[in-house]
Amino acid sequence: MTLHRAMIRMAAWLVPVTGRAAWLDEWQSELWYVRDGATGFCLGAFRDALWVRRNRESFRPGLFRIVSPWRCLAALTLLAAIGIFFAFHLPLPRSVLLPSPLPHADRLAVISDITVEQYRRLSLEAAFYRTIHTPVATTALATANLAEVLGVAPSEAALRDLPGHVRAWRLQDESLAPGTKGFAVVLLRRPELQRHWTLTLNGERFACSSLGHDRFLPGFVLVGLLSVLIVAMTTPLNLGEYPSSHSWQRWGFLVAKIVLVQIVACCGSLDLASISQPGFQPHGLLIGLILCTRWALADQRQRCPDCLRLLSTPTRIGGASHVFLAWYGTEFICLQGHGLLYVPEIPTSSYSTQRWQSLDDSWSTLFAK
Amino acid sequence: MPLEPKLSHTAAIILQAIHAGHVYGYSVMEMSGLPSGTVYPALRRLERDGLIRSQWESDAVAGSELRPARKYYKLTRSGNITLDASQQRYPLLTKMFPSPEAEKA
Repeated sequence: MTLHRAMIRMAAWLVPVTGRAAWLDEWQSELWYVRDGATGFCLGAFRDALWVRRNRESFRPGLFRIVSPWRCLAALTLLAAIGIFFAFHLPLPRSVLLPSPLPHADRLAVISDITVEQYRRLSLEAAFYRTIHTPVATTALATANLAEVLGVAPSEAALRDLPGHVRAWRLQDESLAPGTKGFAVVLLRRPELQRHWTLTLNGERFACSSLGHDRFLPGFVLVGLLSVLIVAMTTPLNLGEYPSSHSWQRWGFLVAKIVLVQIVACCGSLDLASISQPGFQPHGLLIGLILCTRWALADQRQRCPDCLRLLSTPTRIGGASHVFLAWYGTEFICLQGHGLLYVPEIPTSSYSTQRWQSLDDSWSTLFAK
Repeated sequence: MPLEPKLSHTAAIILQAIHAGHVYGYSVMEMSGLPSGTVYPALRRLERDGLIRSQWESDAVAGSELRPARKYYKLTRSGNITLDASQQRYPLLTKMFPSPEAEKA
């Protein structure tokens, strides 16, 4: 009995402080009358304590439990809009999502920390620039052939990808003092697939960075297909047995949700990657897509097929030991009175998936309208 | 603001059990076969919805019998009305837990 009292005391920690003493008194009193099965009885105390916690007056449902379908879509649209906004304002997502303004960006590379003497010995078509740091901003002095190397007239968009955080440019053929260090923009003969690599020219080795943008679409398609495969292997795709009426509404809602969560996952992973890691992070996108798709499916299974609102008041029915004689699982109810959802705890041949029971108008007296 | 009653099968069984005289949590559990994790939250929900009300037994009565005091439940007026509607929907309810009036008859 000491163990059972300890279980109830542990469960009491879940109850808000204001009602804890009364809750504990009730359960300890009830335990005194239990003749057998005290352990199972005490396990129920945890469910009851959670119920009390979730139904206290100050409780607010979690962010991901939005009852109304329109509010759910509005919240997802807002998240997607925030993700898109940051994606087009942060440097990395913007460079990944938007095409480069440079016509042959794949062949352009930047060599950092190069001296004027090394630049002059380069056998490739190249331009040189050095940065000048002032308290106001960083400016750059570049050789006049920069536009020729870039293949486009210098503009803010064209010069944005060049390293050095330069705010203002000046193109002129100035006399560069020996030993001046800066950046060399070189035009390669062939496109370079790598983002960073070592270039060997005339026996000298230079660390190079490509100005080409990551190709996002093929990576996204590949990661998207992989996420579908993983979701199909790790979670059942069956949404349950529902009447055929209003099916277009349910499927439309599911498709809209999946599209929106994919935008959220895609832009969110790019936004986070620009903060934490340089470059496109496919594993971040993969995890995001899997979690978001799983949430969309789980959310869909908990909604009424008629009004698409989240079902409520889950009630456990039956027991695991009676599974051969009676139904065992959880019953949900639509607060609008459209019906009941039966979710089997263990799928059986007769009850393999969740099943919807529609209620006709004769039940309306039991529900608030 | 009190919430409107939303009655599931389980809630109807519990209402009928209380009406039949099983007036405390463990007794409802024993008679309905429902687990404690279902019965006690359901009792709280029914009380919150105004279908039942609870009252602690006096310590004097319980102490004279050398046992802890129990929390008893009783149907309210709206609980009785809701139960009548449920009994029409679920005729087997009254057979599972015959009401005191039916037993006397």
